[in-house]
Amino acid sequence: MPSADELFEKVRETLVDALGVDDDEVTPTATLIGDLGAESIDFLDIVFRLEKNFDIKIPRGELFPENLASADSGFVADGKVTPDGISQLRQKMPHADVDGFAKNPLVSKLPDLFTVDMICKFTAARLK
Amino acid sequence: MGKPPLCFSSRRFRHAVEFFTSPSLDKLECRLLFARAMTPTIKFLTSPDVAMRWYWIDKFIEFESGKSARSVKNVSLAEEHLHDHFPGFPVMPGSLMIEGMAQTGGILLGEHFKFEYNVILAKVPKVTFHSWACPGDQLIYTANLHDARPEGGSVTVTAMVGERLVADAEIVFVHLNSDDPQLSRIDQKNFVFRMNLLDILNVGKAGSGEQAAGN
Repeated sequence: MPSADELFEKVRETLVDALGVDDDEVTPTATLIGDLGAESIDFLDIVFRLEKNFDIKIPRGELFPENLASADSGFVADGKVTPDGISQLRQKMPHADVDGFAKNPLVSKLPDLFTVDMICKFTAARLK
Repeated sequence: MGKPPLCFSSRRFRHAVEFFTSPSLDKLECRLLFARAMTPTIKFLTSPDVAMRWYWIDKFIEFESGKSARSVKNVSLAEEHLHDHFPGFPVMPGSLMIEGMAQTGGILLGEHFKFEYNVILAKVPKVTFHSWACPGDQLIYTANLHDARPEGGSVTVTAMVGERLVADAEIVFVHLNSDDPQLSRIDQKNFVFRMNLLDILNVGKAGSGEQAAGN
């Protein structure tokens, strides 16, 4: 089991390779989509690379859940994620900062849940 | 003026464009004539049977299901684009080399799932061109399958001419179901199996010609 620093470095390397960003752009709080410019297609690439670099298996939808709070999910009202939706998020994304998001749960802010830190915590949990 | 010509070849297409855009023709008349002339051409070119002949490999020479594949691309001066890329210095465009690498890797991935999915070229995370390929060169694309799962897959591919490394790349594909609404928004060229591309798998069936020659 690598130390937290080693794990972060390896995740950083993975994201630099997958997204073509600079080392210093990959910080724990950086959001994948907003800060690092990731697109949906990149998520699959990131999953492939994490599996290879850490020798783990990541089943579909576990790291990057699909159709989060889509219009027909029943978890959205007035552009915000409902309390039921928030508890769904906690369940599906235990490594994301759902508490922070819940303070102002705008649907438009959902992509910000995908951060470098979330990937590090997810990977650490997989390695245990 | 008689019936506008049907223009299927690129040369005739260019002539038609020159004719219909000549200054002697009134602009509106010109547009109408041009639209009339082009309608059958556009219908022809976009019909599913003829839509695009987008083959950037000639045949497979090795195919190990779920593992690797090797294909051949013979670069020929008969390919019109080489005369413009570049005048006096014909070299295979890197973008088309990526197409050939993606077709090799995409068919390798598709075959692994018995062609159950629409394989879409999604991303080229890395490509390096070390050299170039000229008319007369034979490019060998070697693809190795690294990931293959229901969502998509990834390959690494090298392009060699003899012992010389011309390019290497990592390519990521995604799978889309036929009923996925995203499917209609994707450029046809990104489909690995449309446009009868799988005909390439039949190329070897013609044999080497030795039998026909009685050898």
